[in-house]
Amino acid sequence: MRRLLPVLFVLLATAAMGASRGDEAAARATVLARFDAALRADTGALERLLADDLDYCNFRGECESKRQYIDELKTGVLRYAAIAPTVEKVKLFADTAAVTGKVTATATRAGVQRTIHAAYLAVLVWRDSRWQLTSWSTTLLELNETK
Amino acid sequence: MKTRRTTLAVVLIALSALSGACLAKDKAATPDETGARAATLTRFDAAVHGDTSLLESLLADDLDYCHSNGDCQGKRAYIDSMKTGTMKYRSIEPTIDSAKLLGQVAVILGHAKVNATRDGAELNMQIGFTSVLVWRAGRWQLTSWRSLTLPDAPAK
Repeated sequence: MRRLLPVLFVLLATAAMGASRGDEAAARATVLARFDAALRADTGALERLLADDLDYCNFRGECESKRQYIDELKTGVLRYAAIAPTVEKVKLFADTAAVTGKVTATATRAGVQRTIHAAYLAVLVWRDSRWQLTSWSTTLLELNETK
Repeated sequence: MKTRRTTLAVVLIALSALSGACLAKDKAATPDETGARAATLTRFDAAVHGDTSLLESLLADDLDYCHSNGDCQGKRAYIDSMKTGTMKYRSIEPTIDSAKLLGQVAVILGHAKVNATRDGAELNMQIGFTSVLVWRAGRWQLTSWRSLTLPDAPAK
């Protein structure tokens, strides 16, 4: 029995700490990987980087689900030509991260090309041993539109 | 044999105490969606009434409060702007569109009609907002706020 005690302790400690969690560097990397996947319309990567309960709210305040966002990229309704992001801050709350930064992106949506400079708030959740984007919102700082 | 029984009893007591502590913790701390929604609405109300002591408890110390013009403030700067009258809310009519609970964090999406004065300039606008709340010290606290002016807003 005495020999079992250390094992029991380890099990309890592990249970108390929970499963391994993501760190700040991984959260930053995930946000940047998501921009990169969007730019390359890599829907396979986006399937992993976006949470199933994603709320993707653009600079107009219109929100889309994961399926809608990926479908727009798949069908070419939304096509990014360039994305230049910066990550300014990461706040970790156990299995959730709030990431803020700025981005300049040029994209064509439904035939209209826009270059936006925006500030963003990305909320990531740690699921299936990886960070996933569950909420995205932007504040428009500058807009150039070409029809 | 006696030693074995004693050890087993100690382990069982330890396990029982641990589970009891977990249950007690769960009872005391209940970060739910209803509470997160309520904290969001109370925060709007406190802002309109300039109730800075209530805001002290509703805002997290690590708050990032980013306005619809992109300017961001910390907790101190935000509360001070109300104390000094730099920011004066006359009315806020908020609607919560969705609330997502992620353990000790809640993400609230919504929109609001805001009437305010900032640096002497009149603001009359419709905003969309994302509010991130964190459960600390037994209550929901606002830790990240981002808003945007909705396109059809009659901004002045």
